[in-house]
Amino acid sequence: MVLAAGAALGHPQGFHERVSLAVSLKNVDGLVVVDVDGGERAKLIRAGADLNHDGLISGEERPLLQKKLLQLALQGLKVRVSGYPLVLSATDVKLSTRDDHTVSETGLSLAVLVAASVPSPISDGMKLEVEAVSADRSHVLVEVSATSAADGSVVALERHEVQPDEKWAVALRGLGAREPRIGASAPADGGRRSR
Amino acid sequence: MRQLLVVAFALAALSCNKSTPPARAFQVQTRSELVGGQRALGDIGDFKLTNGVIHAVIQNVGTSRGFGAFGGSLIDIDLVRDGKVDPTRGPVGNDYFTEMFPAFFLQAIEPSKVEVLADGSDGNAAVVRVSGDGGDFISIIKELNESLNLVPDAHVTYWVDYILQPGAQYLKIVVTVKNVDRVDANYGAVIPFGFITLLGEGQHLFLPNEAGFDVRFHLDEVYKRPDELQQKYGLAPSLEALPGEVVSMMATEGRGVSYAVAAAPKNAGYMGSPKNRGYYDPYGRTSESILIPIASSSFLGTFWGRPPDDQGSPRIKAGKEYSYAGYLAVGTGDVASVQKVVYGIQDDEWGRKPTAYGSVAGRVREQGTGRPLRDVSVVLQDEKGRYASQARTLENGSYVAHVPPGKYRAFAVADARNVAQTSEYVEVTAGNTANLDVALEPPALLTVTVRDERGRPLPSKISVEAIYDYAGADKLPRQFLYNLAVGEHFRNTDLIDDAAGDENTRRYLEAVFYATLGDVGRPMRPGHYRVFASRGVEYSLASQDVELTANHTTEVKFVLEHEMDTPGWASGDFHVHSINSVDSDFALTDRVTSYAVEGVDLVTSTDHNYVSDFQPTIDALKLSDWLHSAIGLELTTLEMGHFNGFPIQVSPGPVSHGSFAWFRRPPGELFAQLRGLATDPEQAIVQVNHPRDSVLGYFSEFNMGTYTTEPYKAGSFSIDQAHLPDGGIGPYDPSQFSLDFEALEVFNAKRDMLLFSYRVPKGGVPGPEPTAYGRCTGGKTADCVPAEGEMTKITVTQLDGGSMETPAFPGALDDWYSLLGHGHHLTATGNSDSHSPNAEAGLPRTYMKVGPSADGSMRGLSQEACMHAIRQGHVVVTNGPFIEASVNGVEIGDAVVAADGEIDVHVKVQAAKWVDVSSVRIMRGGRDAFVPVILEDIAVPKGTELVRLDTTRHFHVPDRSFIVIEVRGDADMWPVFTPYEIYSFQISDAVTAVAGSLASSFGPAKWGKYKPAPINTVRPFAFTNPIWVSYASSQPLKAPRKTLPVGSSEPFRPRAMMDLRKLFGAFHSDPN
Repeated sequence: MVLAAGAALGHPQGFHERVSLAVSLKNVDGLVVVDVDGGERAKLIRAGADLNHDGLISGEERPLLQKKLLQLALQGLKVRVSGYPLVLSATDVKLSTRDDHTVSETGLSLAVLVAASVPSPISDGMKLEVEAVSADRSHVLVEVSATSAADGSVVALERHEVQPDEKWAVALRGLGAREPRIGASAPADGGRRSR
Repeated sequence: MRQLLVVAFALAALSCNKSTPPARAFQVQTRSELVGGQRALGDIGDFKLTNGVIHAVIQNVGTSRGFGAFGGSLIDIDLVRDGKVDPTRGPVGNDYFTEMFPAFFLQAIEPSKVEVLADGSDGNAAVVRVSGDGGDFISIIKELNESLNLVPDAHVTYWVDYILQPGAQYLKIVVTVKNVDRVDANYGAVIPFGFITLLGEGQHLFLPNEAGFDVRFHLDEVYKRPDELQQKYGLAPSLEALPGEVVSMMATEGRGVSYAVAAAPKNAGYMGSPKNRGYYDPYGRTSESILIPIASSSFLGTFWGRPPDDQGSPRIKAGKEYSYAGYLAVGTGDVASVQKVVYGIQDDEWGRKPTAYGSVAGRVREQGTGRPLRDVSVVLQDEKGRYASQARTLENGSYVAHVPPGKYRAFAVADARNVAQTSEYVEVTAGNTANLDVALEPPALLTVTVRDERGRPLPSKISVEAIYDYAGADKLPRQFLYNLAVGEHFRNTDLIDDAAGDENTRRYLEAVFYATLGDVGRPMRPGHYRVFASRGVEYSLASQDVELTANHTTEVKFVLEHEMDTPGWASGDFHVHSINSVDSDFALTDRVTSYAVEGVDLVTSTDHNYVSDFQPTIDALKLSDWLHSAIGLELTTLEMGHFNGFPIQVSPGPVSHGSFAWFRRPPGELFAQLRGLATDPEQAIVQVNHPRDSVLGYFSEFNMGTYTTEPYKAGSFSIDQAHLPDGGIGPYDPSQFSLDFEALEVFNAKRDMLLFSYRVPKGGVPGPEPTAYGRCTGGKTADCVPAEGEMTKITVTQLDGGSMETPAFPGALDDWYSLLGHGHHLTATGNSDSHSPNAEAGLPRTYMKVGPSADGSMRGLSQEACMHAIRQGHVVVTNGPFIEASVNGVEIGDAVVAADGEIDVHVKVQAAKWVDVSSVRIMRGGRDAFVPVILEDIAVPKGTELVRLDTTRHFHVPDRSFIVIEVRGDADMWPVFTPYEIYSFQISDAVTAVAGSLASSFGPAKWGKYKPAPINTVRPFAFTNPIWVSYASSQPLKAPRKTLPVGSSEPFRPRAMMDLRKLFGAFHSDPN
């Protein structure tokens, strides 16, 4: 009940996570952005990186803070292509402490580029399945686009607020010529989600 | 000792230096950081600027939460208040500003990024930057833009820097256009660059010239100037010389906050070129002047920049950029306070120097008593007749206004008192203050008591009528009876041509107010009046002549009778605005009272993109026995139309209390999402409003053919039907036209032009004949001027390439009849669309057959029964007369089986004594009659008895017909319902003026004088929803209406897909 109310009000104090996934023939790239509202939650995360308890996040402690946020950003994210699980690796990370290097209630933000490659080409008709749970179990906004192999043009597919315990599936199209499929699942019609 | 002295000096130095708080820019994280106020639209994720003096919010990218299309606009700005935070509403502020964004004539920026460029931590200005490419926020202009090459072919990008200096009481806004292409960006004409500002009601616009507060009608006069200038100077209006107000600044007056927009002289080159200097110089143009060509409703255009001149051509060369700048100042509520801020602006970089000014100060007192008067508006006028400033008196009656050096006199304006004008001018020199006191006459006091037949207090409307002296047939009352320029309020008149010998042609309303619970007292200007008491269309109308004298109280008592009882029927209004709409200043208390005093039973809140709940206010005013409310929403798109949904849920948390984004979404999806907001989607009503309004009408925008009920091919200046950049179908594509709604607002407000298709009036129309169209001859019926009484028609191209005729100026009533004939069971409603007291509540209204809960106290009114009645069509629409009808005993909204087509139509028409009924028309429509056939016209003898007609007629009708009854009256409904007298300046008027020689290709303009009158009196009109007749019983299949929960999956169609790496690059992290 409380979580539902929080979601209806846009959970003003919590985690806000957005994931943009770009699917191409052989890769799935993503940008994950997490904003942590100012408040107790942010303070706890900061405190967790303050190893010497001096109330400051030093240069040496910053990577720890970044690591913690990275873990929170990616831990609930699972992506599959027609049942084949992808291993998303972070390729670049940016952290913003909002110019506040103390253990305070100031919010935090993190952006991370992720990428995963697939053993066989991804083709039109396959399904991209996404599960996403943010650290406070609020919804995660997920956007999916496809890059054509033919001319590199980008086709926007769908955007959805993925709820906890939801498996959201997007039918892939706009990738180019049909290729042998990977995975055992049959292609489905688009946009159907299941819980 | 020496050390002690050093410390002492240091301490003294610290105490003498007042430190100016720094300016800061940041992204909003919590609601406590927002600005707050009636018009505040900011939300978490937006960007904020603050310096301890003023604070502002710039919306993040996305869809505008104001009236515009795109995010990235300035949406909130206010003085920094005392920092109080309400636990449920957030910060207690006084933002009364809706939206402002840069405009390049009629193109805007479609932002792709908003960022903090400088957070102010270095002690300098804080800056928020909005950047992106260009976007058409009004797509009907797209063809104009493209055909005239007003948007260059080269790739240009834009950015806007909102700059706040420490200690400044204004925001500086610098707009830059950069040509990032390899080719020059050539403009087809010199177009003005500037800003579009949406102020919203509650901010009273003031221009420091002959307009003063009368911008609406003064702009009408300004638009006549081109003819004069053409004769005098040989100049023609064009894009390079747009007609408009030429002013040093634009300022406002409001409750506790005021605003002003001023220009930076550098690069402000639109006015003053050799081509147009002669056009603007006679009106006082300087290097700091602003041009205002459009001031419509809340939509204000302020322009001063232009594309740079390159060897005589407007052009931004490859790789180059052009910038212009302006200032938005904030005052404490009157014009003077914000003008002072503007006068003090010094900006060396942009060429702005402080303006030399002096002051006029004084006191306003009451004549006779000498009592100081607070809250009086004092307006200063110079010797040339220009209104220079305005200020409000304080508690002690004092005021101070700031003006350039010159000679001034003062007008003191207060409700219920005659305007006082000083006879002499005082001279003001720079840096000095001249004294000017004013005395106002005391008011009279009028008290009114209204009771019903049983002696119970009755919520009633009090209208105070007076007669003005004859001033000539060509004079309008606003030109001599009162002065809008100094801020007097508009007086409604009877709109009858003035005759010297007939007082009944020279009536006006001095005041209209409400006896909420039957008793009211009100100060009034002394004079001779006729006081009326009324309670809408079911009650009698009573009057009494009075002579009101200063310092005396006059008491008037009335008894109103409930003349027309409608057992089992409840009246409702399903299109209602309050202060929660940006274009209404109607406080909730007055709003709900206005319904109780008009005898409306059910009022539905439908604010623009905002969900309101009127019930707490009704309860607080103890009006629950008289009035019931439902919660709704007017989903307000910019060009697709306006759509209401009710009853819906209200969500107190979000900024809009539950409204949702509409931009670039097709209508069917919007209807489904409105249902998704409903308390019960299966019971929801989705209503299309004013479908034949020009830019705001759904049928007009989609070019729906009246007789086909399908879109035909768009002509010039139509909504943008192009595909989306990713190849998807655009939301305005004809294939997106949807009739998946329940109700159609056929009768909107008191606008005849939207209700009835235009026919050439009997008696002809004065003026020259149009050149584009000749008279209809040789059997021709379209694209020509028909005989009197006939409808004007045009030929259009259908989507399959065929051609057809359709009304040139269609009315919603004909559309609805055709829709019914095509089998669309849409319920017709009539609603006031009221935004202010001038648009009377419940005019018109929708009567619903709901059963016993409609009788007695409105606490017991069943909202479910009301909604059921609307869905089933058990509805009568009226502004006065009440119709009951049946066919073979079957009532309105139901279907009757008449195997042989023989039907008995029973009609009973009732009306209160003061409502005229002159004719009743029985009509039949159907698949064979998209234009209904008149079965019989019945003349109703003049009379005042309750039942004006009670008759049964027999007819033979074809299978699958429907029967509708219309009732008309000849006499107008003054003073209960005043004429539609102030029409909004239409965007189409501005486009026509701008288009100049292109105007002949702009549909409506081709008809010249043969077009609907923009103003009209209110005459009785009512009609029933259909009774369906068929030869055999058939249960039409009812497909469930589509419902989309808010926040559900939606196709993702961004304007431009961005590379993930670019998005990542835009993310601002801590420096390494």
